[in-house]
Amino acid sequence: MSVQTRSTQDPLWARILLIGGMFGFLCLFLFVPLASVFVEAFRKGLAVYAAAITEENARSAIVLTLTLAAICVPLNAVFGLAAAWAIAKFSFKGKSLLLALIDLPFAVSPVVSGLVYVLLFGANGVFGAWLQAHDIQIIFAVPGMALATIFVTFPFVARELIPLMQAQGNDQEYAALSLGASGWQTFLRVTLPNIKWALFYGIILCNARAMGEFGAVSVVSGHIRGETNTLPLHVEVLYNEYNSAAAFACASILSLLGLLTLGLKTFIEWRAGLRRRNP
Amino acid sequence: MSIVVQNLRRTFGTFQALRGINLEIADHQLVALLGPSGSGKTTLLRIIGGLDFPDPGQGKILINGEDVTEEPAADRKAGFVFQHYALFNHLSVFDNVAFGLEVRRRAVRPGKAAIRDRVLELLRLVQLEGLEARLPSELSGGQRQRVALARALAIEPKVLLLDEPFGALDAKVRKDLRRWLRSFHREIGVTTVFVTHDQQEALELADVVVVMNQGQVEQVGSPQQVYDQPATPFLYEFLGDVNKVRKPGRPDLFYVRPHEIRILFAGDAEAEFHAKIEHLFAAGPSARLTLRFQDSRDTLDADITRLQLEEMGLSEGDEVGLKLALSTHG
Repeated sequence: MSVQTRSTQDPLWARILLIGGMFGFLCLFLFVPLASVFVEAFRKGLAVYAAAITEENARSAIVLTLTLAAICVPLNAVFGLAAAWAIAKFSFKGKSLLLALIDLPFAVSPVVSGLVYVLLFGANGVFGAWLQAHDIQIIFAVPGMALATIFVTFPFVARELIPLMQAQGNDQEYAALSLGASGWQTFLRVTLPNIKWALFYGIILCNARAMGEFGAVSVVSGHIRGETNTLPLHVEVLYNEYNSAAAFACASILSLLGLLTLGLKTFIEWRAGLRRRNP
Repeated sequence: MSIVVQNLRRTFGTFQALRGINLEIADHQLVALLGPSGSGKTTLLRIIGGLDFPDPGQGKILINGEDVTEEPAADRKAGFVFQHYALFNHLSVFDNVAFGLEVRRRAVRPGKAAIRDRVLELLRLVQLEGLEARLPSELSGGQRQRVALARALAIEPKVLLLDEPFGALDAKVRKDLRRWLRSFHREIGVTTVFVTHDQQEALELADVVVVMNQGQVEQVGSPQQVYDQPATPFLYEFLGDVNKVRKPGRPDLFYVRPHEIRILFAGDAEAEFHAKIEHLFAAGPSARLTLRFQDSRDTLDADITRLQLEEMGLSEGDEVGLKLALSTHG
């Protein structure tokens, strides 16, 4: 071989092949499908698109999706924070069990998670008779969907915070306490500022999943149009009715929400990176 | 203010970190808690500061005669400085130092102007004037340590507790800061306890050295006392260089420091033992000889002045006579 290359650099053809291959792959499997969603959505023109997303059932699906996210995200932010706090800052018996439990929603299929709630709260479920006697509707109603969504999205915030809080240790909290701060002051003035970007990041991922969740919600929703259909469920219903223009129009809203999440996530990573280099 | 520790015990699981500590520290003193890692010195410091607590019913902490054993850190007014500073990364130097004043209840919180005056005065005291707007990440290790000190002093602490205050600094800064802390303590006069595993640091800096080992206090005394009259074999070996040798022909062990050995000519009538110079190292202020007793496998180190080395004209392989300033233990 007469051609010398720097030891850290692969030959040109290999670089072209690898980078080109990667972009080709991303294009084929990510970009083209995403673009096709928008192409399909606008295929029959702007008027049809506008009609599809302002139609009564679509509107109620959007409202329901946002409502579910508004219920689940704050709750999971608080639960996740509490779990991460307990795991990172204290040692207690059953800590590894708690860690495993936090990962449970990632491990089991969302459909199973939904089914569990049906088995518990459904008409023939464990608490079914009692709930019916007291006229409380959980399954095939918003409470059940909220429960299923909370379950599925629980790990996001906790998982994001635990490694960071473990790495940070307790010294700053101890310092605050020794300076006379109360527990609450320590949390607000020391702990929270130190984890705010990770918390924000976890919340965004949690929100994205809460709005996009299909499997678990599908099982408990009962697909009552205009009542218990979220956006992802609504898309499926429309598609099954061969109403592809409307299905893609609604899918495009979900895609936009996804892109928005991606943008926010990138922004936060950039800000957090900026802080790390030059806080 | 004075600190009294009575019969203190602390257990982590099955590990006994502190096994019955008794200690009295007088007002205004600068005290070193010295010991190898795992000796319990940091645990003791944290318990004095209220960041950890003794086993239930096992011991008491009195500050200025008042029982504070059950008092949480927030009420104890003990200024604590952490090994890795534990500065609040997201707050400026000013806000770090002001923290202890800002979190006070409204009734006892000084006004904005008063806080500002106090913080600037403290920063002047620790020689960090003009850096109040910086973030901790923009400071050197030594500067961060002094911010941590100013922050601890802002609450007008009854006692100042420093955990390995120079542990994370490089040798040069460490030496400067050590000297600075000595005069600083003289200036402010707050009873100060610092933890260290560095004997040199403890001996050089403290009025009183408390040597700890395996959860117990081995000796309390002035630096000179603990160095010259170590109470136990552990102390002999822990504090400074020491030879642990058997006298030729006798079974008992004795300890002798390298500078406590007089080197004589082999024929000198005062010589107690005879030995051969196995190795000679003279690149420093003094010369170190590694000596081997005749008819023995034991070696010992001796320090002599460069002047003596030259006058006696010693070199490796020479036979010499020894006279020992004996402090025996065994």
